[in-house]
Amino acid sequence: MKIIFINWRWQIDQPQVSIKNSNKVIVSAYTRKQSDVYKNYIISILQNNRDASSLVLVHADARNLYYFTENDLRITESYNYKVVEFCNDGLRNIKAYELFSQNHVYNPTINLENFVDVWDHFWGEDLRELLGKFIITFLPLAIDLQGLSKCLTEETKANKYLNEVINDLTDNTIIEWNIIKKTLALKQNLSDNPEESLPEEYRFEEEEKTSMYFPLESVKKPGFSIGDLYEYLKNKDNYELIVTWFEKNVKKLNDKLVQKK
Amino acid sequence: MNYFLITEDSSITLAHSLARYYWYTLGIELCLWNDGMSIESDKNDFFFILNEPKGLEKYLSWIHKNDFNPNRIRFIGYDSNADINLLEVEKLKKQIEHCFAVTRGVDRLGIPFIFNRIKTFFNGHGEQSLLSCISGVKYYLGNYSEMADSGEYSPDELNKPFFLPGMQCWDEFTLRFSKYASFLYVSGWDKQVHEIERSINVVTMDLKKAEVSDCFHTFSSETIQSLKEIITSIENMASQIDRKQYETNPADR
Repeated sequence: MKIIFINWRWQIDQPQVSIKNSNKVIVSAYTRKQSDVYKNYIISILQNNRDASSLVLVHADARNLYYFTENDLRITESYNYKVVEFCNDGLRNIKAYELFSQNHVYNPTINLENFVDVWDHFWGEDLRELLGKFIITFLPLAIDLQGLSKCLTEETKANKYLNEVINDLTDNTIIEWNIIKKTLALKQNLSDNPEESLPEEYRFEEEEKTSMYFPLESVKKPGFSIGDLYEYLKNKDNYELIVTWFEKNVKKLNDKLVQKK
Repeated sequence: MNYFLITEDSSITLAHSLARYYWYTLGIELCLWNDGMSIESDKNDFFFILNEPKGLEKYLSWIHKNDFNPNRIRFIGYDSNADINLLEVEKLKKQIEHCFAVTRGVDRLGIPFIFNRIKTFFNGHGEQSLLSCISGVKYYLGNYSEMADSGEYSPDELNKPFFLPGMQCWDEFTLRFSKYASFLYVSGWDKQVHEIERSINVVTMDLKKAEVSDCFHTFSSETIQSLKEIITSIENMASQIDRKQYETNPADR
């Protein structure tokens, strides 16, 4: 959980690359005299940072001759950072300034007391949207399996139904699920290190986390292929497991991420 | 009798699952409806709408314009406000069967998106409330008509202070009504919407005559009656909304 400010200040008099660098916040300022050094510095920070819940705030005022945009940062998707362009002229989101400083245009001071508020404002919104994403991803399958379970006594009908369901399944379900898990930092390698996992208020207990994995996944080996899913659906006993898992996860995500606010 | 499912492209996977569910568990063929389709619907057709605010306004407007039976609309959503709550997956069959049994009196005002739109219709969105707008029509045009009939005033004395502001209020009212009529139409006020639309036509036709006339215009008794009916209907609806708002959140008052 880290906030990286890029171009917190610009047009400063003295050459200055880093004005603050802690385990929570990296704030950089730009000086024209060192533009190449500065650019390389920023890119190296981003490439070396492995904190999956990082928030990157880019001061992208067009008047700044050397401003960064999201595209300039070359952050690969696997890093899963949240990148927000902002400036203080009212055209882009100025929440970062409002929360983090007194918003003195020429000499903004950083107030770390608001760290969690800033992080939550930008990153928390992604978390709150996860419930909707989860529902869109798994509700169709849950409905199909609930329907299938009602037709089991009619074998021909059930087989036809199952074939239609399987023909409609795509890798997309698995891709979306992996993104959701990643955003939730459910993966074991992200949750081992407290500094690299979600803030406490968003974090799930170990037991809750275990039960959030898709029924055919295990905590030790998360992930499955579309072929695995086809095979799994051939066993009728699994229908109820998936439907129950879906309903429980909706409740957990709602309680933890949505109702919290 | 046909069954239509109205949905956005973004929910097409879900729509397919629902169509399969209806077919295999209930023996009902659910036709997916999209923008390009024309439907010759009869009053018995059922419309299931996946409750996505993004497209809802468009669908409701389409249902209203085509005069489909609003009592045959069922909202499918993700909470207990919807006629069918998809998140209660295990009770889906029961919910669908139950929603067919409900023929009238479905409380659409329980759906936040619809209720909020109707509240905006009455309260305004930065402009005057609908009741002050319709009171303006009543005051300016009503007085204009009576004073013109008295023969004590010249057209100049009445047009600027009464007729023009009355027309402005009328235009604002009709514009707002046309924008929000679909929401009223599906909220149990379909008959009132039809009546108000008929009355608006009567008044508008008469006002058009007044606009092209150089001298005083005397409103027909039908126009006066229509105005009264509009005002009564709007006031009744407003008091129902007020009650509902109080039930929902007394602190809002």
